[in-house]
Amino acid sequence: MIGFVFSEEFLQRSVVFALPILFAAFAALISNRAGIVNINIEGSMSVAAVCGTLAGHFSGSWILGLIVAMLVGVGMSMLLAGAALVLRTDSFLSGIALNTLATGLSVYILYAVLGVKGDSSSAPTAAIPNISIPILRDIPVIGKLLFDQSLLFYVAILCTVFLVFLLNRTKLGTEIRAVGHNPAAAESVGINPRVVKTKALILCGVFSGLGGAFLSMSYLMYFSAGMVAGRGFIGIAAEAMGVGNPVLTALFSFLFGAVTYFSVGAQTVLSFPYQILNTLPYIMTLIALIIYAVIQKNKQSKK
Amino acid sequence: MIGITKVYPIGVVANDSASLSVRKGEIHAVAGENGAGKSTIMKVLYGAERAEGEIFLGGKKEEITSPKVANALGIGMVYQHFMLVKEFPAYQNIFFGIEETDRFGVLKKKEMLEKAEELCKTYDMPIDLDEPCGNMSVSNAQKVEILKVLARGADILILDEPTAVLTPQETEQLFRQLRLLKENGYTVIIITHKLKEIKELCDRITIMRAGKTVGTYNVAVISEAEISRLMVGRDVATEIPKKECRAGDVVLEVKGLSVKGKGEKLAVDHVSFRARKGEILCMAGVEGNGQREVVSAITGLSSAYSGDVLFEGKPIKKQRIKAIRNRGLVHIPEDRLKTGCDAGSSIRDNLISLDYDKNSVFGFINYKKLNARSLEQMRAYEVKGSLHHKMAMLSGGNMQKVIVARELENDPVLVVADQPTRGVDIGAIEAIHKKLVEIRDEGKAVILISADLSEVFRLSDRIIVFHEGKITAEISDVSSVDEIRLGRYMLGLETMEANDDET
Repeated sequence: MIGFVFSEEFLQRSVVFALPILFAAFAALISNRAGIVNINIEGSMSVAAVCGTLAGHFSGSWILGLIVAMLVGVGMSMLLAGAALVLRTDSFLSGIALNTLATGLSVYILYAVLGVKGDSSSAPTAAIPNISIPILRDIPVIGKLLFDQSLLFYVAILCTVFLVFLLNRTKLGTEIRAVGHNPAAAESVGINPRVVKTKALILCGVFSGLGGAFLSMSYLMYFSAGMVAGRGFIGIAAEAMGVGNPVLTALFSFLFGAVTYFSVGAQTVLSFPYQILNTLPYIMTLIALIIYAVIQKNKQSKK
Repeated sequence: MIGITKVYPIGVVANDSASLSVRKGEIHAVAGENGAGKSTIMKVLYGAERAEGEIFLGGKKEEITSPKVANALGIGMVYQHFMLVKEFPAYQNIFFGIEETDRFGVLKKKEMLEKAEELCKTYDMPIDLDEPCGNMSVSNAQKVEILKVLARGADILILDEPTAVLTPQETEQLFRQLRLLKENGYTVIIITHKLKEIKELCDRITIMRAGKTVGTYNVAVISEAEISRLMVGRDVATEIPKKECRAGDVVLEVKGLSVKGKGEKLAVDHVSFRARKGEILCMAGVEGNGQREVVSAITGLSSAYSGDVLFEGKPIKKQRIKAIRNRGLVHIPEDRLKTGCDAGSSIRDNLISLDYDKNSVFGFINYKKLNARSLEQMRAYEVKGSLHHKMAMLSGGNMQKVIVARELENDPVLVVADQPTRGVDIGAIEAIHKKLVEIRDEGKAVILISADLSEVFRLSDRIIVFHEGKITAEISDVSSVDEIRLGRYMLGLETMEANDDET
């Protein structure tokens, strides 16, 4: 058990489990910072996953598949933008509706294209490559963690840096933060908050697409119904814990990934009912959110 | 601006073919009661609202369709409620929307800081450019707002009630800066209803009433009384007839009250005072010096304090608000929209919200009786509108009158009136002041919380001044101090040894 947790493999696999959560968390981060709540990340990932893997299968190109996944993610985000920003519906209710839509839509696309309803294992996709750097990957402890991972791991690191830079150093980042904090102030200097929110939602869609593509083009080579399995929501929890800070959010995503992998991996080494182990990531999410709420409450009472 | 007509969707005419003409390089006051349409006409000029009519700038007709267009034409506006992103440092707020960037949209922080510093120096507004605006004093935040407008290259500045939140000293400073701007060729338009400031600062004045412009006058040749008559449309009593104060029994006693604040500092630091029957006790002070916490404690809204609050000899701590109210402690809250009323409900529903339960049988409300009573209250308090008008549609003054009516007609023993006339027009101020004095003359106790010095002087029988959670002065003879002195107490520049007036 201890050997299992402190193995190189545990670190490496934790990252694998953390990546989709991380992309979901970044999707939540960018939209939350702009002051629009998108709870449809789960659904966006699901539709992006099925479209990406199918595009990868038929074109034989993982690049094309990845691009399709990101575009579909953006498309899903734009549905929310249309509902919440143009038609001015409640973004929560629209998000719930879109999630419900996505559950059916992803299976529908699968059925329309392949004629099956469960998964697309009959049509394996062109996989997003792993990058494994010789010599460096043999460094003890961190070698496998850092130098033997999916391409998207490196993309995720770039995304973290990109987000920190975007938010703090650019005009768009300034606008996103301002609109999130005080839309009236933004409006008074001629910034249209809805335009800024739309831009943020486009980025949100790209991240959702990356998360979906990782699941169906790197973690597995095919789409399977329900494969997102709450990762979109866990990502939202990780973002909340990271209080909108990209680096903290990434760290919390890793923590959630580790717990998820533990619940899967421990089933082989522990004689513990797997049903209970399976609930671990979700219980962890609950606990995390409770801690987060308590911290926030204390902060407020101090004010 | 000629013939500006603005009709809001709900059918309220804010501006009715109003006209305004401002000369270059002058300080021009736009005065009028609340709801007279001053803010609206300014927002039209700034492009934040669209309206019928024409706007000429330097003889040329302009279509000002958005604040951006107004900025480009050199018009800038400082709103009454600041439009700052509190989390951003000052310099970022100053350049918000016009950030200096390279061609990739990356911010040039150094250039912005340098430019901001230069602006600060030129216009004599020393502020810490790296400090987040949320931590700043109101007066510094206002400076940021002005710098923000100047950074946009405006030569016409519109300020919406800039002195409403300032102390006399800060107001003095602001006026100095505005005069400096005028000397530099800027045109300043200031919305206000404070007559003294108009006389002191402005060159010309345009008076508005009920959406129309009454006229434009040279400030030098028009008296304060004339201005107020033109604003209200009738003579206004600047003095409220008051009987001599005959303070009776102690109604409320506060002993050693302390409330925790942010961090280590106490928001309220061992404060003790008494309120007596037949007396208006005023808690004066700049906002945020502990008055709000004291009000929460004495009205029972918060029990997070140490010390005692005794209402008619009995503690009120941890009692239900309803129980406290039933004992005769009524409260006119500071924020009339948030806590003072339910803006989505009708005037009638707000008026009966305290005692509808006592006027019902088996849960059925006796509307016949309550409607009649509400109508009568509306007449007595000169509330314009009908029983079923939504509160949200009323002007600030009318809304406040409804709240005052509800509270004062609820058989009070002690009235806690928190900023009862903030943002309220002169007519309503007069009505509310009269009622408060009436209540006091009936032998009831009134605690008035106010940051408006003229109100403090007009009403109070006794003043306690708050600064940083402590009482810095207690003034039993109000006529013995002037505004300057009181301002010094409020800023904590001077303190007075608390004199225990047991007598």
